[in-house]
Amino acid sequence: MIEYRNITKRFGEKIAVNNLNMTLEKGTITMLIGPSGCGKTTSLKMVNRLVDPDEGDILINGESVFDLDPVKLRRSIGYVIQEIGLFPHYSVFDNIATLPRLHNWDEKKIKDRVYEVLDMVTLDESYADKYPSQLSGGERQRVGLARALAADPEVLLMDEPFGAIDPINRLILQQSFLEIQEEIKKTIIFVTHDINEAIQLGDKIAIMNQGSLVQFDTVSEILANPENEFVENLLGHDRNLKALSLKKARDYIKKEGYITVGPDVDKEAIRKELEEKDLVLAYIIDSRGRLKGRYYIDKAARKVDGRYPLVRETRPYHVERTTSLTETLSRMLEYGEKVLPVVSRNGRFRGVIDLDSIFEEVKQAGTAKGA
Amino acid sequence: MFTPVLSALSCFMPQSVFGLDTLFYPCPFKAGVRSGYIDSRPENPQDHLAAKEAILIENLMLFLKYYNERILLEFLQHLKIIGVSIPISILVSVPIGIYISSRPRIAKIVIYIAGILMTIPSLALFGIMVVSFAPWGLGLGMVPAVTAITIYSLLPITRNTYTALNSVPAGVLEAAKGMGFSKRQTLWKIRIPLSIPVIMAGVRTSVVLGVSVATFATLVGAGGLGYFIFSGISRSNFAMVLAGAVLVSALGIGVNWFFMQLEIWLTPRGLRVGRK
Repeated sequence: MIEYRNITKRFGEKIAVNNLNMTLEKGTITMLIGPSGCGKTTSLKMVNRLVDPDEGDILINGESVFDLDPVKLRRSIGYVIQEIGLFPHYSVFDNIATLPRLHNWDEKKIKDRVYEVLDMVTLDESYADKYPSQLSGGERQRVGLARALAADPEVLLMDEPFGAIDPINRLILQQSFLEIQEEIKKTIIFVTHDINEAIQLGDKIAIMNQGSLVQFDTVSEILANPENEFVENLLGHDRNLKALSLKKARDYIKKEGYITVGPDVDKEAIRKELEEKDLVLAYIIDSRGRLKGRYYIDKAARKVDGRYPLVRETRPYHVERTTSLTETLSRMLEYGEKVLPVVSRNGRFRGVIDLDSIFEEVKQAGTAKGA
Repeated sequence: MFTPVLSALSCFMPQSVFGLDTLFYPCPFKAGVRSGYIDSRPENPQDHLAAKEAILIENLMLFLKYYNERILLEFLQHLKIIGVSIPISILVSVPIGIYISSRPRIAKIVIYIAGILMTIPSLALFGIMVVSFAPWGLGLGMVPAVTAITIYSLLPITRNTYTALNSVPAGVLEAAKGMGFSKRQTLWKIRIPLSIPVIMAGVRTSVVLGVSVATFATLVGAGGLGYFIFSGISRSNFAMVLAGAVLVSALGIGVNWFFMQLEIWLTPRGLRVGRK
């Protein structure tokens, strides 16, 4: 747990951080966000005393950081900056081994730990002997994270770590970062200027402006109830849409509007059943409940013998139970489908999600805001 | 002390000192005459080009035959002057560079002074050294030569050390500080290793500069390959001048190559490997 108590920092005349009070719970990710010069990075750097405040106190687990030797304090905290922070003359192994060596671990333990954290950030052992200049930006960032985790710190400070990575690799990194956090449960302060990153990664978001904390709350609370116009602007016009990214397809599964058939059912029988129930979709489910394909009556096609053709697809588009509504929506748009089947991780058919449920969700979020 | 040099030069002026025909001109060495006396020249030099070439080669052979021991001696002496002054210069400059690297105001003054020292013409610097050390009876010999070359090499090494230490990427330094490196650890584990290529480039510049400046060492009685150049000129012995000039040039090129290899070898591997 990290507590900021009445923290104020001035740079000459300018107040960089103004009376900041904030308590960050153990094992959570807190995103610090705001325009440049709002004091977010300054606030982050106070935790490992790269910047000392003029007033106030910062406590980690009840102990003031100002009672500790700064060098020792820093060695107990993980610190990740942009990929440029790697030591270019150290191999990946030596970079990751930096803190364990400063802590004088024995070499055997260091070696085991380096391979352990490499594995954690999904880099294989062959990377150990490479040098930063031989890695891609994304790989370097993974090494940077591995290095910060090497000495198993309780607190992790991350200063725009993915800022210099291209958008596609950034998404991949963010996803694996969340998976790693799931496993390690560190107390993380993460500075970003990207609101989408804040929404995707944060348990809580602290929004700062001109040195002051504007709003500090859970992501869904901030999206539902922005404190003021500044927060609304920061979130953007599409914040209802952004709120969808927090919701998962599994909570919107419908079990109607389609029929399920076995893999060997006769085509005519399927057509008959669909016509009887006035439906167009039939999903093919095998004996173990896995989605194997679908039939649909193609009403856009030309009639043959006075009837629309029944089309069979063996690899239907689908979403997984944990897919976010944003992602579901974008897949619907991409595939031109109003209804997508939802499957579990092992491929079992769970039902469908339709466009109307997503619209309903957006509408409700809009009403909640008005209230 | 410069009189023989000047007189030697002046007696060649009409025939263009640097012209090719001068090189091929038969030296009085063959005739055993070692003063400024010039043998009578052929009416039309072009007619006798082959003959003159033969004479020069013959002269060179004779020179090498009679002077081979002396050549080795002066070559080693030249190396000795460099070998003493450059380590002294490194031992002085690198610590100065490190000291001033975190003190920009002092750094400005130090580099300025070193810059002034380097702009003094080398021959003049030797003169100043001779005069400065004369009161202690050290005006001639190794002491003024080594001192002059050491002073000359201060600037490239100091400046490169200072520049290199200050061009370590800010992100790397911030990461080091944020991870809990002490100032001393940052210096020894991060800043100095990353600065080695640039510091070594400074050393290389100094050594090459030192090789050429040490040519004048013979004028203050410290010997070196300059002996052949200056004696050769004063005796109108072009084979001698040529041999000295070629040897000094070769030595310059050789040490440059050697220090380039050393630079590569000392550069941390992570800075040498490129992208995959």
